[in-house]
Amino acid sequence: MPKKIARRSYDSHPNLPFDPDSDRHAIARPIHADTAHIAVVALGAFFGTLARYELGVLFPTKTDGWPMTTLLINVSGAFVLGLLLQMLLNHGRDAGKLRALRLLLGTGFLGAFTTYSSLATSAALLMRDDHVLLASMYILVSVIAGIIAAALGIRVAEHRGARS
Amino acid sequence: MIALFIALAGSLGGVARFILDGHIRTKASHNFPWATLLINSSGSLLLGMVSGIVLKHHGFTHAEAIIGIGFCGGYTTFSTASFETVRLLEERRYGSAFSNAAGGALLTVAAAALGVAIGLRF
Repeated sequence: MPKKIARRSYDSHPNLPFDPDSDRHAIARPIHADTAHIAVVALGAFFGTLARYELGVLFPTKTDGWPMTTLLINVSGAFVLGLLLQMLLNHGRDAGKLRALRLLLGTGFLGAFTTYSSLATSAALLMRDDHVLLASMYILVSVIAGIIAAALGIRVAEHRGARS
Repeated sequence: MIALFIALAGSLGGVARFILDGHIRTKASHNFPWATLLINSSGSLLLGMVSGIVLKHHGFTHAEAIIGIGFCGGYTTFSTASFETVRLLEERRYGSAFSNAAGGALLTVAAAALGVAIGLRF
């Protein structure tokens, strides 16, 4: 008897997308995102980036300090993404207007609002300056808080969806 | 005014992520979020390089802000990475979830560190 017969035989949220940033249909047809979809992602990403930048200007991080602004941006973004994707799911299939909303707000805005490169580079620079413990804690807290936040977002939207 | 260019670069980054993500998804295994890992790592490498250059020259020019905060920030994503880890957990694929979370952190930090080292040589 082979060890793994069926992959993904269990999934507590089978209707949630596995990869929220891409088009599900991209698997079925050659990778060629519609111009409209690209435009929608571009629009959301524009404002997501702007928001992140402005928050960075308002709440700058000291050199070799704990990157609180990026952390809060990332964790809040993870929460909202979980919330968003579950909420969209509550309303119907990932198609048409709902898909457009996912691309605009999820892939576009939240994808650009949150940033892994800043997280990684801040950590690398902190380590370079011998703040290894600080860097490690920052990475750990970010990753764990991000997971909890995304899961929480899904749960909250699930709960609201179940009550309506 | 710089805010506009940063936002435009971020817009480009987001689109690059969207297109690349779809592309990688058709090539790699559908069961593991390789696309996000690749995107976040390459983006961290780039930001590392930009940061190395900034360190070397002791200052931030507009170009570095646009490429770093703008493009790299829009290109890489933390929310998607977190969500994908949660999905793996929901599928009870705990090993994969851990790999995605830990791998994502390690790969991106290593890429950023490498980028910084490269940038310092410019």
